[in-house]
Amino acid sequence: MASTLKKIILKSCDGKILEVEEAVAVQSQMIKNMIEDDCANEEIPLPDITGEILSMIIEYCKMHVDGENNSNNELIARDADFITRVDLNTLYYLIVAANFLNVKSLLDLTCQRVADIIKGKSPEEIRLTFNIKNDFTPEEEEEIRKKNAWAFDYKD
Amino acid sequence: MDKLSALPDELLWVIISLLPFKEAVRTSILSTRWKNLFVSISHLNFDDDGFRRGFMNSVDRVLFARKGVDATTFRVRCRNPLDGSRAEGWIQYALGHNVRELELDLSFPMEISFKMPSGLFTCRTLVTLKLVMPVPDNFDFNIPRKVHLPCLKILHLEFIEFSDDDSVERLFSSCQVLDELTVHRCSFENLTEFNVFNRSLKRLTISHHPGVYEFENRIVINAPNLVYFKYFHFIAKDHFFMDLDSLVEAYIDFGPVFNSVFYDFGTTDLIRGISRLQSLHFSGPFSEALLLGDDQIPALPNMTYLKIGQCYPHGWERLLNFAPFLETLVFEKLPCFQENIMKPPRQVPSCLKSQIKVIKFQSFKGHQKNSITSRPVTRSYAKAHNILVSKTSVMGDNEKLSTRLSEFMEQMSTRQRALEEQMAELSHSIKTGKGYSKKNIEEDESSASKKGTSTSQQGGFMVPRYSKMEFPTTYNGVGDPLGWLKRCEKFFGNQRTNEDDKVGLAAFHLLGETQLWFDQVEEEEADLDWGHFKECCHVRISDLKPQQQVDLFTAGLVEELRIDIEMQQPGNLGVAMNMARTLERKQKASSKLSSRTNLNWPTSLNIGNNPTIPTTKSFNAKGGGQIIKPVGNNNKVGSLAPFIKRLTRTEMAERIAKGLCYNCDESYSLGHKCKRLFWIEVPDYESEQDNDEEDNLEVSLHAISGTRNSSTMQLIAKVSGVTLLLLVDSSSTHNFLREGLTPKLGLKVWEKPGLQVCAANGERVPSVGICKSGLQLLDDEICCKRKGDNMARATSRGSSTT
Repeated sequence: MASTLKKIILKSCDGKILEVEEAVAVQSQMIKNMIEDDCANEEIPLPDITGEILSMIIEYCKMHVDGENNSNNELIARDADFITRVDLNTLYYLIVAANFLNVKSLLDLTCQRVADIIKGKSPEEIRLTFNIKNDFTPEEEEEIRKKNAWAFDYKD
Repeated sequence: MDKLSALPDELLWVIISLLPFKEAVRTSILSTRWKNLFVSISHLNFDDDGFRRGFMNSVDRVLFARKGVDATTFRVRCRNPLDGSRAEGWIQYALGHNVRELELDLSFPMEISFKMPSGLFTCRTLVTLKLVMPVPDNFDFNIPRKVHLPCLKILHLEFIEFSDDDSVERLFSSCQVLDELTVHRCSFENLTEFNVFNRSLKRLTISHHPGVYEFENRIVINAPNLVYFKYFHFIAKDHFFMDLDSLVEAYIDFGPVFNSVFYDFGTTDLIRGISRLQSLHFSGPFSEALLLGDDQIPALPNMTYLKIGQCYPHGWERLLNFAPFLETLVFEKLPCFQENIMKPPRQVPSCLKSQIKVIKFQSFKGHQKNSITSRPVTRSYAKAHNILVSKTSVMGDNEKLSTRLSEFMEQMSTRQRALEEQMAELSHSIKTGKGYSKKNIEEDESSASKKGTSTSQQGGFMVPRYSKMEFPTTYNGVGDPLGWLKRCEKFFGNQRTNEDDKVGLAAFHLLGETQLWFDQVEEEEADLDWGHFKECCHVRISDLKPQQQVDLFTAGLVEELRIDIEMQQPGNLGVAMNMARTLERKQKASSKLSSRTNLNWPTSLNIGNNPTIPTTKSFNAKGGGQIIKPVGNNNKVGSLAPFIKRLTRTEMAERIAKGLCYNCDESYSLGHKCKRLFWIEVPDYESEQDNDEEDNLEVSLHAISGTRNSSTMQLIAKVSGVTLLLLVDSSSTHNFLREGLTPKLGLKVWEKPGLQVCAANGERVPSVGICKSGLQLLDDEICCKRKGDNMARATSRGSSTT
């Protein structure tokens, strides 16, 4: 049974090699395109993705392939479970990797996660959370505030 | 730079566009990296959630700040009333910036009628269009002559009021590559025909405006490539015309349809339209509509998957009969509403016996703990399809299973039938309960006691094995034996009675004439088995017995008559009918009498003026505390006389002393009216003197005023040499004479004190008496005395002048 399924070999930037069933691998639009173009017979090098991130993505794709017959709600619950286990640092890498591999559902999920973290926070809190350095001069910041004063009116 | 800010612009745009509108603007202050991100995002998502004011200005500012960037996605969701011109400006902006996905969820103030910019219907870039207008009244969904949407794939219309048939058809048919169409909660009021004609359409959802369930118009769907069809919340009363060759999946939910009488037509048409589908999910009272529809439901030859959601407990099983190749049957929730229990089909559909492979229960609420189960039901199937299942989840081999399943179904249906019979019996006994004679009750009691002894006697050889059950009550030959036989069978089935014991056991519970009958049968037939016994029972009761005929007859009578007749226990139908006629006559006579006598003595008793017709019913209902005024001897209502309770002198004195009313238990004062209604009878003095003039006396208005109209005729006549003006008037009951005329005419007046004539205005005019006819022309006259004596004319009944 298993032998009939084609395997795709992926190589991460840190030299880790992973064998993935085709059904799982085609969750990535990029790999799917490569298979269609017949470029996936040898191992596929993924320059910006570490072995750790790659195995996470494969875990995610497997989950979606296995869960195809499950109800939508179940899948959403699983997604939520998957994404809340991910710390911020890993999240960035996941976004980059999902973007590179073009796994749309994972990209949506990770971006939504970032948006959810930003939501409801003041600019100061956002800076703190994501370690964003405020490189505006106070005058510049004041000018932007004035320009979009309506958006900074927290009373609304 | 931090890792988030290091992400490429495209990704940050995605993240920003996922934020609420205001917070998205605020990101511009985070750092110089973020400063211009927001103004260049291509997914614009405006939502007035979180705004109390200034929403429109904010949208304008954001749009103004953007420069030369496409607005691929443009969403506006605004729950507060909008300025129409602003909204139009935004839509124009989107159209001018190569919008691919446009979603408008807008409300407008009542006084403004918003009109869609016509450019919307000729947009070359638009792929997805979603219009939601929660207040459709002031939104003019005007579809221009020219519709050209070459890229539109998804069209979602919600709360839209369509204006006319043509424009709707034009819109749908002009979308050459349309993939998905949703017409959700729209109003079809202005349409006679809802026409979807589209060759590319694959998914279609139609639902009606909530609260409107009757859709008078036709639905025409011509979409040969339609794969998915969802249809809910209503059903067209008239017709569906559908051409859905490629349909694979349908979802049908009619929601709470209140008036399902109309839907049989529509349902049949609908099912015919979707008959080529493979998978069906339905819920709502759809099932009941199926039950109402005739047997012309077309077969669903390709259907392999059926999911049944919440629906009435009846009717859904009919679908099984039309799906011979069903493989998967899923019950989602109970197919019922609230307390109704799902009932198994009366006959096991063939597909359940042969084809079915999986039966699934999802979120099933039952008395037993039914967890969500999914099991391949036959071992052979499980093997063949390599499905790993635990031993317990395989129910058995094909053949064995199907027999067990059908057994189960049959058992369920017999139980249901037995229940229905019991219900029918109960309701019957409630109906006839009032008329139950004592004799019947005694009989029941005696039979019950006999049964008690009989069960104790049986104890020796009949030990209940499973549960303690009493043998069905005895049968004495009255009523239909079918129910009794069924109950016997159920008893046997449950107690696993031996075949040989059945007849003996049943015969033991025969009573009365049936016992004799059985003795006779037993002599004739040497070894009587249960099947034969049943047959004999049916043969014996093939015709209606006299008592049953009488019961049938009396059941149709009015309550009072029925009770009277049932008390007499007539032997056969003829007697019962005669009795009914006589009683009816009697009733008429007594009611007439009471109304007349009451007229003569309207206020002589301290009882209300309402004449009441004596009925045994009212007597029965009132019961003991009733006091009825003494009455004169009246032979006509003799049979009712025993109901009257008289007050003795001491009782009267006691009541006067207490200041109570004679008739009720409240204190008596002037103008007192009893709160209860009594049966009123008053003495009839008239009957002794004269029996001819029993009718109410009425003189018409014309007779008094001399008005001429179509029903009157004035004649000049000579009576005993005196010239009179005669008014021929059919509205008066008698002939009336002026009092002064009588001596002139030589008529003798029979003095009658208290005689009154009812004038047309309802006034009662005292009258002197009655003249017995001594005339050729007039039969008899009633002599009237009136103040001012202005009744100058004699009137004559039309019939008497001829």
